Amino acid sequence: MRGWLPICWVPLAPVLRTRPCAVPDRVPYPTVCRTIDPQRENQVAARTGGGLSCRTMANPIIELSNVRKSFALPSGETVNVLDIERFAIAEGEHSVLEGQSGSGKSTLLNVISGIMRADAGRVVVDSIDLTRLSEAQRDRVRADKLGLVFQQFNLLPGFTALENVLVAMTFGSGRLDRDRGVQLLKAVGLSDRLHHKPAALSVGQQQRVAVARALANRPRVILADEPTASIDASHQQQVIDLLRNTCSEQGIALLVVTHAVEVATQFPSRRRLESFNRAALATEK
Amino acid sequence: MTLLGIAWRNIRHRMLTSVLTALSLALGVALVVATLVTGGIVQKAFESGSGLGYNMIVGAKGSPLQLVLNSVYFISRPIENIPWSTYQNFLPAAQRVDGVDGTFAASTKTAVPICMGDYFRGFRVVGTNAAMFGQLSRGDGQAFQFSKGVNFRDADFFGGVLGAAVASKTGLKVGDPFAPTHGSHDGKVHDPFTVVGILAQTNTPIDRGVFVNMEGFYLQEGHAKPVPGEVPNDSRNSQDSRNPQREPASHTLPAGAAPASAQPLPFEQREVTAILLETASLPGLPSELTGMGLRMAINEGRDAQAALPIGEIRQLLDLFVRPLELLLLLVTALVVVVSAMGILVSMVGSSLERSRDVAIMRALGARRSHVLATVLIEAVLLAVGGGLAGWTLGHLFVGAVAPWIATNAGVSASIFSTSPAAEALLVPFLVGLAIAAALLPAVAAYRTDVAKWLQGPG
Repeated sequence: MRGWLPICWVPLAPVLRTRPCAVPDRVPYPTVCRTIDPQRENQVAARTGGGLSCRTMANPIIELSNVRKSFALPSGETVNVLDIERFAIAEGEHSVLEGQSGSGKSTLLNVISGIMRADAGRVVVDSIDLTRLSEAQRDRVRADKLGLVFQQFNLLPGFTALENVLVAMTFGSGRLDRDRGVQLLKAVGLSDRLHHKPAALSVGQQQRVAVARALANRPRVILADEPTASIDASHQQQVIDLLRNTCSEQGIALLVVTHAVEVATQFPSRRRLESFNRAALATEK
Repeated sequence: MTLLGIAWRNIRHRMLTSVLTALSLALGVALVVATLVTGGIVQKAFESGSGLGYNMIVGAKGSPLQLVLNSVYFISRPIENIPWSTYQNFLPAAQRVDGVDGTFAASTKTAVPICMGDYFRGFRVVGTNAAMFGQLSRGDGQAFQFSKGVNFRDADFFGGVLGAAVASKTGLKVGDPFAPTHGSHDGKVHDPFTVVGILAQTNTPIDRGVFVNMEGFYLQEGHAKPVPGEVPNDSRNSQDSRNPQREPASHTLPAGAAPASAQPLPFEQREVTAILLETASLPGLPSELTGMGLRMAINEGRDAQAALPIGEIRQLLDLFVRPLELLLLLVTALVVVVSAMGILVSMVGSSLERSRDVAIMRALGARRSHVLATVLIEAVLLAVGGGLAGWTLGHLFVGAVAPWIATNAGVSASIFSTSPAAEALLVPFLVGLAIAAALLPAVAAYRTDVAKWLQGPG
């Protein structure tokens, strides 16, 4: 069985949003969609690459339909990266997205987070259709609804651990809550590293700061792009446990992009991008 | 955390680059401040001397500017001397030997003769009479004030009055003797005079003057004009051989003024370097017209010229000082612009690191306008920081050279001397410059491709 971080999760309680915990913190995760007819679910899953169809999902927090995204190469050629008929994540669901390098995983995350705009289709996050929003509005949705964790941690090097968390609050709709920032860092076991800059932190500590930062604005979803790719094996499990436990405690949906099998196997819901991304399928053919 | 806080942390993170950028800006601003303040002081120095209670100067034919610079500011060299008789033309009957009003007496309110050519420890010695401080004002309509002692009396041939800067620099006190040197700083040493008064500071060239009784001045070796057929010698030694028919200067002095040991120099042997005139208004004519007529009349003569200090100084300022000041300002402004380019260079230099930071902030939900504003705020902080440091440096420089300015220009300058209007414009100018310099990196930050900097194509 996985080893749990020696972190007491009780302190998190005061800083959690008073949202009912939708899922327990141990696999298998019963999602809100478990009430759905399994036979019908299997049919949809076959079409959506294992994901739950938004048509059958009671409370989808992320919902993509007929999304296409392509890039123009310098040669003038256009490369289709995403062509997805249906993709959805349920509220509180923990899911892993697998795929080969270049299959469009990061692009998919960028489209979901509003960093990129889909060429066509609908991208709905917490009932907000991002495709109808301006870039500034998408930025606001990203700040308020989504928490991002990156492979390279992407902490601001000139800012302390606490300041990195506070910066995220700066761009959200909520008030700048220094106490909450401190509590988030305490909750991830960094109470004695609040005023350390990233360079003075270990890679594991840096990723924990990144997780605390992702939680700063009480997001509905955390998108983690290869969160364990840059850290050694001993820290990988800690980070995965931290993400899953934190999201479970707070009822936050978690979508982890990874190509690490040992990580993917820990998630009850695994989706392979090539299986529902028609652009990837076309490339394979 | 505000955008200001984010910008400040970015500056702190790139501390060395930021400090060097701000320092280069500070040096440029210090140059501008020093130029502005010293330019203002120079202008003030000239303007302060152009209204010392007299509105016209009469001296030998030549350059009117040289006449003004020498007579008012104690700089440049005297053109030549003019005859004593010319001075007498401005005197009323009561002060003349012949008991007749001088040619220009009606147009003259006050005429003060000055004789120059001697020095005392680097300061000009001016021979004059008690009317200099008794009848002329110090320019603002106020009478001259003495911080110590009193004005010398005409009868006290060897009395002297020191300007404030001279007293401060030489340390002489009332009652102390001082001996001027003839013709130059290292010329022959004359007989000593005694300090009877020290003037309060006037912030005019008067502060740099050593004023002695003209009667004592005339009695010094080499100051008497040689009379044809007479061997030039120490005037005091020639007293016995003097033509008894010549009118003694005592005519212009109070009765019994001349001390027994010194007889005044005969008029024939006297010359003056210049005459400071306060013109009077002729009945029915405005004073300006009177002055104009008097000036024309004097200039038509062969012996002397009349110059208007205000006009000459304005001309000097307009033709020389202000253009030079403008040129200096232009050069220093270019230095500031080059320094501001440092902001651009420093920001472009750190653009790689900045792009990643910008991408992170954008991923956290920052809008493009946020990152644009952050970069501009960063530039403005550097400009304001560098500007304030430069402003302080500039004033420290002025404070450091203030004693030299006070001694050589007769104008009090200190660390607090300002050029308010220009200095007030400095900060907006700097901020504008910084924004202009930061615009390019700010737009680059605005256009940062978030996806590219956060991760490779997926």
